[in-house]
This record gives sequence, structure tokens and C-alpha cells, in this order.
Amino acid sequence: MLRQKAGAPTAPATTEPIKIGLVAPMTGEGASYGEAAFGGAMLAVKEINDAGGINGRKVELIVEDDRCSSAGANAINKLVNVDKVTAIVGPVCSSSAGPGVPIAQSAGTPVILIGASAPDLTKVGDYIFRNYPSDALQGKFAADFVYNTLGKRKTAVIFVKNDWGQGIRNVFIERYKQLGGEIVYDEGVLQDATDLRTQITKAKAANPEVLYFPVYPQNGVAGLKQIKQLGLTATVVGGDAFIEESILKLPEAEGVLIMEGKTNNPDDFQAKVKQVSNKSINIITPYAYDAVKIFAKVIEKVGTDQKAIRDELARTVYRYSIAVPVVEFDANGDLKVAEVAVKVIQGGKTVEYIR
Amino acid sequence: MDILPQLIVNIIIAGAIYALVALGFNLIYGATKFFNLAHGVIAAVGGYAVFYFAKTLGWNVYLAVIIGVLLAGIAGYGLDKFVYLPLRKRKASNMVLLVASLGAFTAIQAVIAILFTSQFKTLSYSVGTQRIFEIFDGVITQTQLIILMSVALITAGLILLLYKTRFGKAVRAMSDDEEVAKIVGINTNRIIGRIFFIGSAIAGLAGILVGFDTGIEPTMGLGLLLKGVIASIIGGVGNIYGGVMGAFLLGFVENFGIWKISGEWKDAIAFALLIVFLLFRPKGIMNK
Repeated sequence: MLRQKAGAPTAPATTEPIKIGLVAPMTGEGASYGEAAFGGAMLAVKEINDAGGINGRKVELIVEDDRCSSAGANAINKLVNVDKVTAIVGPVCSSSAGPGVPIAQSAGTPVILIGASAPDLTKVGDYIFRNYPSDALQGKFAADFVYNTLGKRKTAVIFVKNDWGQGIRNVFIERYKQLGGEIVYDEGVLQDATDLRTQITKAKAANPEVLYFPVYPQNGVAGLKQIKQLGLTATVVGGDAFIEESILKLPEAEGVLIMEGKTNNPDDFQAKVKQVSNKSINIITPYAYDAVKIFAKVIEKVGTDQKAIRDELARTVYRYSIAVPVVEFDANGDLKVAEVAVKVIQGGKTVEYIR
Repeated sequence: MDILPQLIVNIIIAGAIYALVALGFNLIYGATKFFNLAHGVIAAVGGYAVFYFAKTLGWNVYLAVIIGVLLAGIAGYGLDKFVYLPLRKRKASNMVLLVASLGAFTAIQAVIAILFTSQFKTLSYSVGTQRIFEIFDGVITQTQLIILMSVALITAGLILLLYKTRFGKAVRAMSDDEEVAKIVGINTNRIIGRIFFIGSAIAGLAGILVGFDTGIEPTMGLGLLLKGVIASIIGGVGNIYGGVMGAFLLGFVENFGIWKISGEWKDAIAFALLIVFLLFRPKGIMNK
């Protein structure tokens, strides 16, 4: 009896569920990303549990709402200290991950970020990983693309004023100027803004050849309409946040270019997600699914000790992922190999950009 | 290119949208004297009703708009009947009513998100099918013109209603002093119910038109409400003309403010205007 009690933490016979936290915006402006992440994570949990769990233990997903905001700190605090989760999937938004991940780092809880793409997040510490391409890649690639491939020298920038938009804008502008391009206009909009008319009017007056437009879908739907209405004819280049139904289905989005980390989101996968959740599905869904599956595989191998999970994550090479061909982390915890693709919106979906 | 003409058009468009929200809000405030925060989410109810009937069920758009406006009105009437009226009967303070309206706001917003997901949706079709008009050097779309005309028509309609009918007389009497109005035989609860229907229907129309102009999302109510409330306060809360004037002043200050400085300052400017008014002219432009 006594021995059993004392040995509880390492006892192999426990059948308690393994808790994995999901931090995502379930309400507020970013809620469609939260719903999308939830669908992917739930499918992974269902598949794991249907196959008998991890070493006989079921997986329990604990969802915390971060509203895409600094509430991420509270969400991660609760998961780490109250629920005592083994690992955390998310946040989706950089604005939530910024204040949130230091808490997980200091508690020694491994995190796989699934969309929060601000470059500095993985530098918080060695417990923070990311299976999603960092903005440093996207912004830099966009600058190269606009300058070299499109050959455009005058660009206006309208970005969403949060960690994601600001991060991507900084990298873009730095690289574009370095190449020799000129930024003729550069202003932010707030995350909930839907009246961008005056910003677009000012951008148009600056006569840009290209508008770099990394904003969220709700800014984008309104903004793209207003761009057409106000007659701004510059080529519009958006960020990966535009890969979302509300933008793709928008007639005014036709011809908009998008830089995105190459993400696979195959139809048969989406059909399976639809069986567990009838909410939004977007680019985040396969990343959430992969992150849960990667944790499951690592835990299956090394158990639930968080230090062991971290060490195993750092050297794992995971080839069964949906979103990207292979997940392998570099010293920062970012993807070792990530490709950026240029897509163009055509007829309600994205197609490969061909010059 | 000179941006001033377009800037002025932008001001008028923004002002018209704020005015639509402020009109209904002021009407309800005038009669009840409490801040009905649920007014914002009623706009979303209108927008989503049109989305459901016109886009999901494929009904005629005009029919869907009429249903949307009516549904918003009924939602507002229902809120009064089942939430505010019982509270008033219990002599609840305006603070309690305000909190109740905040509860209603959040609850209805959550229901909309459950039914329709949180994705941003647009009611309109493409710009191609929408006529664009040029005034001097500025452009304005058909939807935006409809918004402007709605503001003019509704303002005129409310003025007629309040100053030329028996019903309006009763509303104004109540607005002056509810107790005395009751004593002279005015059924104040019935009148408040009707006011809620009319004010909420206007909010529904605002939500629908915003849906055609930009788009709808479950959380759209808060932004609309805040701007509508600022417009009401700086114009003179409870005053029909004041709400409209406040709305255009707000649109003007906001858009003119970001002419020379960066656009992310827009909301900061709007709320600074509110604070200036609260400090120096708390009753607004119109009220003495």
C-alpha cells in the first residue's frame, strides 16, 4: 500500500486520462480560427481514443478561450496550474501567445503553437515549439516576391495593428527597403476595424504599384470591397490570414495574391473533421490536428514526464503530418523546413500563382 | 490626387451608419431613460435574419429585408416584454436594467455565433452588380446612398411620429415625467413596448445595411453600439436631431483626424471626442 502511494507519479498502471490543453479564440473576432482549431484537435483526439488511447490512457482535450487577446495568459495559467495539463496545443493568435507562452515555459509545459506566427514567440524558451511557418519567412518572402518577381518598386502597406500584423509588416518593410524598394504609405488598422475608407483613400493618393495588406478576414472583407469601390488598382498582396472562406468567396477578392506557408488541407481530411465538428474549417485545422498527433506519438514513446516530452520533441522527425510534409524542429523550435507558396484567389479558391 | 473630396464622402458614409444606430438608441432612451446596450446585438439580429432568408433559403432579397427589420423589432419588443418590463414592475433601478441589457446582449450574441458560426459574412454580391456614383471626385456606392436616404427618411418619420401624432404626444409626455404621464392615463408600459419595437426595427435596418455595405459577424453589435452611443451622447442623448448631428460630427472628427496621422488612431480620436464632450458639454450639442 505504502509503496503504491509513494510511487504514484511513475506508476505505469494509471488509467487517468492524459490532459492536453487547446488555447484558441472560441469567441470574439477570431472565433472562426478557434472553431477551426477545435475541429482539427477533436478529430485527432477521437482517432487516438478510438484506437485505444495512448498506452491505454484516453486523451482528454481541455479547451480554453483566449479571444485572440492577452486573455491567453489567463488561459495558459489555468491549464498549467489548475488542470495541470501534460501539453498545450495553441495559441492560434500571436496576440494571445505573446503574454501566454512565458507562463508555460516557466512551468515547464511543452507547447506547440499552431498559427501564432510572430517570429519571436519560439525564442521565449526551449519548451515552445511551432509547427506553423513563422512570419519572418512570410514577410521576407513577400518582399522578395514583390520586388523581384513582380518587379514593383512602390508599395503601400496597410496592416492590422497586433502582434501578427505588426510582426509581418516589420519584416516586410525591412527587407523591401533593403532590396531598394520604396514604401509610399504605411499605416495600421485596429483588429475590429471595418471602415478602412480613409486609409485606402490615403493609400491611393500615394500612387502605389502594390498594396501589401496583411490584415484579418473581417478587416479584409470590408477592406477589399472598399478598395474596389474607391478605385485603388494596385496589385493586392495579402497574408495567410486571408485563407479563409469569407475572403475566398468574396467576389472582390478575385486576383488577390496570398503568401502562405505551404499548407495541405485535403478534402478527405476536411470531410473527417466535419464529422466531429460542423463549424469553420480553415488553414489552422490541420495544424491543430498534427500538433495533437505529434504529442500523442511523443507521449506514447516517453510517457507523461514533461521534460522527457520536450527532449523527445526537439529530436523528433514526424512524417505523418497533414499540414506540412514533415515536422522537424530547429534550435528555436521552429520548423526546419518550411516552404512559402504564392497563391492567387480565383473563383472562390486559391490556385498556384503563375506569372 | 486630392483626397479631400473622397474624405468628405467617407465622413458622410460613416456618419450615416452611426446615425442609424443612434436614432433607435435615442428613441428608446428618450422613453425609458436607460442605456439599452442590447440595442447593438439587435442590429446583428437584423443582419443575420437577412443572411438566413436571402442567402441560406434563397428568398427574395427585399422580402428578406422586410422580415429582418420586423424580426429585429420583435426581438426588441420581446426583450422589453420578458426582461425589462418585469424588472420595471419590480421598481428595478436603471443600473439593474443596464446590466440586464448587457446580459441580453451577450446571450443573443452567443446564440447567433452558435447558429451561424463566428465567420465574417457579407450580404452583398459583387461590386459589379452594385452601382457606383461619383460626386465631384469622391465615389459612393448604391448601398451607401440607400443608407443616407434611410437616415433622412427615418429622421423625418420619427419627427412626424413624435410631434404630429397622439402616440408621439404620449411618448413626449412620458419622456418629460413618467409618473405624471401615468396619472393622466397614459399606459406607459404599452407605449414603451411599441417604442422598443420601432427603435429595434431601426437598429435591425442598420445591421442589414451595414451587412450589405461591409459584412456581418456576431460581434458586430458592440462596435456599432459604441459609435451609436458616442453619437447620442455628443449630440444630446434622447434627442432625435441630436443623435443625427452627433453621428455626423463623430464621422467628421474620426475621418478628418486620420487625414494627417496614422489610421490606427481612429478609435482613440472617437473616444477622446466623447470625453471632451462629457467634460465640457455633458448634455450634448442639442440639449441645454
